[in-house]
Amino acid sequence: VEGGGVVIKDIARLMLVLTTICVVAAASVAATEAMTTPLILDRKANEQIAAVKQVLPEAERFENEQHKDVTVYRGFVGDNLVGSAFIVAPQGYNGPIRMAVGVDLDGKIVDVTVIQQDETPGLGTRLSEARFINQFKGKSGADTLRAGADIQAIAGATISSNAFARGVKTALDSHKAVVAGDTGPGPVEVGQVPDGVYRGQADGFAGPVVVDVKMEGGRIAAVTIVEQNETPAVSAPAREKIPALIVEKQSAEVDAVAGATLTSKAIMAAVQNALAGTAPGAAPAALNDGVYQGQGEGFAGPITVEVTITGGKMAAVKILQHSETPAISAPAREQIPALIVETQSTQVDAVAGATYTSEGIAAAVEDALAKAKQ
Amino acid sequence: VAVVEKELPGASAGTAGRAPLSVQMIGDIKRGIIDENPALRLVLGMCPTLAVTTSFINGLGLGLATMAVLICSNIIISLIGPYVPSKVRIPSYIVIIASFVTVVDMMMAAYTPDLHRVLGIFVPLITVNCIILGRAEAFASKNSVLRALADGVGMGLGFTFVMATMGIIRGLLGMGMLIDWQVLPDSIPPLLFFILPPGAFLVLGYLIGLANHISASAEARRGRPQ
Repeated sequence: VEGGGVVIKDIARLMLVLTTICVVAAASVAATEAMTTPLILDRKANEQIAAVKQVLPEAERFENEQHKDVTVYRGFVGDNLVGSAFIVAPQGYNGPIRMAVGVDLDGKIVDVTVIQQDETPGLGTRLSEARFINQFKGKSGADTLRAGADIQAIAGATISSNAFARGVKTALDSHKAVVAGDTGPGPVEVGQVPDGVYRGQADGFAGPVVVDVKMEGGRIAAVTIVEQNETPAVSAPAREKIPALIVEKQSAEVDAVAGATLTSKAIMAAVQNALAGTAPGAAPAALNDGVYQGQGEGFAGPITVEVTITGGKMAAVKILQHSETPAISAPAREQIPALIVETQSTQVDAVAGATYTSEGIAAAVEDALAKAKQ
Repeated sequence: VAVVEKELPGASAGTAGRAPLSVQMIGDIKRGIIDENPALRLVLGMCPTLAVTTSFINGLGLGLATMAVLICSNIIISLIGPYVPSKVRIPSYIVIIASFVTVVDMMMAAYTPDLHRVLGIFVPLITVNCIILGRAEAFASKNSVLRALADGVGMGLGFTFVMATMGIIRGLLGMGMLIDWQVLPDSIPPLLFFILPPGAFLVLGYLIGLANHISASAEARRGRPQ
């Protein structure tokens, strides 16, 4: 009983001291927060606006809105729309890379800037270099924007480069979804689309609109709406008239039906999307069966490959000769040939750590395919 | 009991035990930079030392942030030391340190956003940097405010010096940058290895080796071979 009193007194003292310390500490943290929060928010907003101004230097005034994960800034001179900027944040090597992408009225990229990134210094941070960013200027939704194809990745920073390209792609997609309609990409050359039925989709008023486009003898023979969720009564005129109009005009760009503009545009965009992937070039030209050799430039010299074509398709890709660093290039030498055969395309993602070798193999296969097409 | 405790750190600080306060303080500062450099001699706070020293400015920035927290926590802990019962001293110290770190973190976010962004998670992690709790426990709680301040300055400078030096070496070898200027032409590819984690271990290892070598030769000159 005697000791009990002492223990309780002790505990009370411990509690008192610790509570006092915590209260004082919490008060000072709260005071600092109250002081710095407005400053921090201000800086973040300014940073974003500064980046938007940089990628859309023409515009004098901006209006912003949110589209899914993307913040869209429309840039105006007076009352005229001159372009839009998109804030995207693709996942990089060390976290999201927040960047601003400026797109003009024709859907072409004006400029790109990185607002914030945590990539490896000296490697991923080189994304901000003009030499890398300039590759993207003037590109549009029609470009593949893939490392190794139309974009040269930063050696040693393949993952960061791919993330950057993905971010630009996201911005172009948002441009198509949000701003397009009035500024959509140019019409597909209908006459060059091979026969067949193509499916495409686009966002309408109340969800995706899916269409099937039937091509016969280089003409649009029929447009069928497969799926839609539009308001029945309101969208009916568009759903009836637009497909017929597209067949009549042989173009995915026709006048929208008044009162159902969004549905009209969605149907047009879906047809456009269905035909977009079929343009010549995207469809592999006929390959003659046989075994062909090709050469491409790797990291340390030429890479020679042998491509076997069976039934008009790539059946095997074999590396005959190379002088790449054995250990570093091994993953690329193992994975890239298999990937090319699997996807039947030379536009495969480079293996991280062996960008040059990956691109060299792809180039060598392209060289061989060129011979197979003759 | 209090008298005995007061004398302990004096003894560990060498001959400075009975010297005037100013001399003791100078000794405290020197000790932190040289004899007991936290990064090179005590080998404390290795995580930020290895992780953020990819450039001079990063190393210097985190070094100074750590020093600010260390000085503040040393002063407060020295002041409240006698009133905190030993049973709750660790939680008390951690609350105080964490609060200072949060304050520094918010200040950096507001006034040096670029640096704050680069240092990222390592600013909040100053809380668990063992240099700070170590100094609170081993020195600040048992010494006068002025000596705790001197200890914070010394240890902070010592840590910052190593962080900045590593940043300079790694930036130069790994990116061809001297502090903030590109000194190697583009035609000479830098040794990226030094920017990556293994390079950090290598540079730190050589620095520790160099520090050991210097102190060994100093001892030898004084005729007290180790």
